[in-house]
Formats: sequence, structure tokens, C-alpha cells
Amino acid sequence: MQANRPHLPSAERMGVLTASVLLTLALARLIESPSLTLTLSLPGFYFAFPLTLGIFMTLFAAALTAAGMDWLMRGHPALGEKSTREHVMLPTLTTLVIGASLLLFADTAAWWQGFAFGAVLLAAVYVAEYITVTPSAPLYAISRAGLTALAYALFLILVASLRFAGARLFLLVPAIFLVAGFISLRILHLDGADRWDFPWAIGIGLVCAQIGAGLHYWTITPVQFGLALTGPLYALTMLSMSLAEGAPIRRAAVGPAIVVSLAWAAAVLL
Amino acid sequence: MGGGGVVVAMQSLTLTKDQLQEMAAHVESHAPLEACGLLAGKNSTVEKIFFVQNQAQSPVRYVMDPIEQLQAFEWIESNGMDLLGIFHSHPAGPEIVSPTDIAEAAYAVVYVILARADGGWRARGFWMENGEFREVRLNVTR
Repeated sequence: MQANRPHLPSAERMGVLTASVLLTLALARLIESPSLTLTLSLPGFYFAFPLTLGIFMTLFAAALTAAGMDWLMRGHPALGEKSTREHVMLPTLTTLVIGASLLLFADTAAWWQGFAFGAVLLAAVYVAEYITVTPSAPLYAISRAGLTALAYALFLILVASLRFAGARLFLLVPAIFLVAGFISLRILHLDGADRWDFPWAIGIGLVCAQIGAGLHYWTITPVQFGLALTGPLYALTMLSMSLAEGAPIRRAAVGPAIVVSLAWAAAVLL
Repeated sequence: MGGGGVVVAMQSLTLTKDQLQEMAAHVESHAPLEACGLLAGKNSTVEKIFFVQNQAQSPVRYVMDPIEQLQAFEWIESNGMDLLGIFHSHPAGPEIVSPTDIAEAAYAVVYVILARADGGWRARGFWMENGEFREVRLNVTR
């Protein structure tokens, strides 16, 4: 495939990577194990992380994806000496989100549907990341748009899954901060300016984490919770991109304000 | 602790006789107004009671003070416990949950009602879901 179409990844490497990750995710369902809760208790602070084989395998699958994506991207003829880290982030997060979502449906028929959908999604993300190395590639614009949309969808799914699983505040807040930060960092890097905007990513992560903490005790559904957080994430990344393009602050703020209003209105009306 | 997560219906709630007496004393001191509070613990066993001020100051209705409620939630979170129950009194009866209680039940926890009976207070537990309720056994230990 690669000889004729250099913008597409090697079918062999794609197959090995996808199969390894899917096998790891599938094993999480097949093997049962007792759970171990890692706790840290300090005055006024209690952290508990329930470590099951399923969670361990999901983390392992994410690590496998990161290593595998690096291997896949190294085969790109146009990559040269460039770092692969920007192409590793979203696939790793995708694996994490698919794995976490599959754990929630481990004992239901929906697991197979989720697994099949996850397989297609993972393969699509690997290909899209590969294509975005070359801006002149035929499918570059679609891949870039797809990865951006996927990043927001992943955030929504992950945040809703954490809520559905009843994650404690001390686990929820750092998770939201990290995922929102990484996603905004990747999206801002995808905007074509080739910049790593750490201050904005950290700021967006903090804002999302703060909103998540504020809504933690509200009796809202996981989807409402996800929408209430995805709106600000989208709006703030949009604001950052507009400001980077030199738009005046008042004009740059209109779009994000509308997005947040719509997302929150949807969350309230659901 | 918020709504919308995985809900496992509780079949019983365990509390000590002393905890029950504390709750009874609290609601007695506020009668004829309704009094309320939160029950926290682990594995269906109450370990801590929070008495929360009834902002409604009404004999037929309770609205928990939001600041006290938030402080209680934060304490529960910081100490690795779960919110297991919400209690309030019905000084003028009935012994079971009212239509208002059912309509306003937002948390997947046991709702304990303390109502007057035989010169004292009798506690009964209820689980409310989808506009319906069923009684939950209260195990009282020494």
C-alpha cells in the first residue's frame, strides 16, 4: 500500500498494531480477577483508585498504542527527524476511552457493538494521524477535521463515563484537567500553526476541572455532565485559535460564547 | 455522590442505637418544624451523621442549607465514605415518604423518615426510584 500511496500507513504495521491493541482490550473482558483499591489517606484528602485487571489492561492497551503509533509513524517517509509525540496523543487517548467505555459494558451484549465500533475507530485514528504528517496529502483536510471532532467526542465520552462510573472528586478533577489539557494541546497544534500552546492548554484544563468539580455534587446525568464540560473546552480552544489568528477579543469571544450557551442549554434541556 | 452514576439499589441500612437516638433527639429539638440531615458511611453501614439546618423552617417541608450540605459532601469525600442516606422528620406524620419527598428525591440513597409514634420517634427507611418507593430494612445494632 505504502509504495503506491505514501500518505497511507503500511498495512502490515497497521494490522499488527490494531490487532495487538484489540487483543489486549478483549482480554480485559475474558479474564476475571479480584480488584485492588489503591488508597492514599491524608487529613482532609482521600484518594482511592480501584485497580482491576480490566483497568490495568486498558492502561496497558493505551501504552501499547503509544509505542505502536511511534513505530507506525517512524515508517512515514516525510517524517524525517520530527518527533512523533503529537501523533501519539489522540490514538492513546482513544484507546483509553474505548477501553474505559468497554469496561462499563463488560457484561452486556453492547460490549460487542462497542468493541466492533472501537476497532473501526482505532484504525481510522491511526490512518488519520499518519495522513496529517503531510499537509499536501489528498485526505489531509478531512483527516484534520476528523481528528479535531474525534478529540471533542473522546472528551465527552470520557467525562460522561467517569460520571457514570461514579468517580470520586479526587480522581475526577485530575482526570478532567489532564484530558482537557492534552486534547486542547493537540487541537491547537492541529490548527496548522505548528505550535505547542502550553499556557492555553493548562488554562483550559484548569477551567474544565473547576467546572467539573463545581458540578460534581449536582444531580445531573452523565450526558448532561459531559455536555456542560465539552462546551467550555470547545469554546476556549476556539477562542485561543481566533486570538492566535489576530482576531480582536470581542469578535473572537462571540463564537465561543454561543457555543457555551448552546452546550449548556442542551445540558439543561436534556 | 452526584446523580446519574451506576445505581445499585440498597436493600438495608445499618446504624447503631446511639445514632438513632441522636437523630431522634435532633428532630425532637426542632419539632414541630421538620429537621433533616445526612448519613454517611461505607457498605450500607452508617458511620457519621450530619445534622443540616432546614432552610425552609416549615412543619411540612425541608430544604437543606446548601453550604452545610456541600461541607458535609466534602467531608464525606475527603474521608473516603459514601452518602448512604438522607433523613428528615415528619412531626405531623405520615410515617412513610410523602408525594413531595418522592417528587424531590434526587439522590440514590436510603431516605429515612422519623415520625412520632408511641410518645417517641420511629424511623423507617425507603428507597425511591422512578416515582415509586419501597421500604428498606433498618438494621439497628448496639
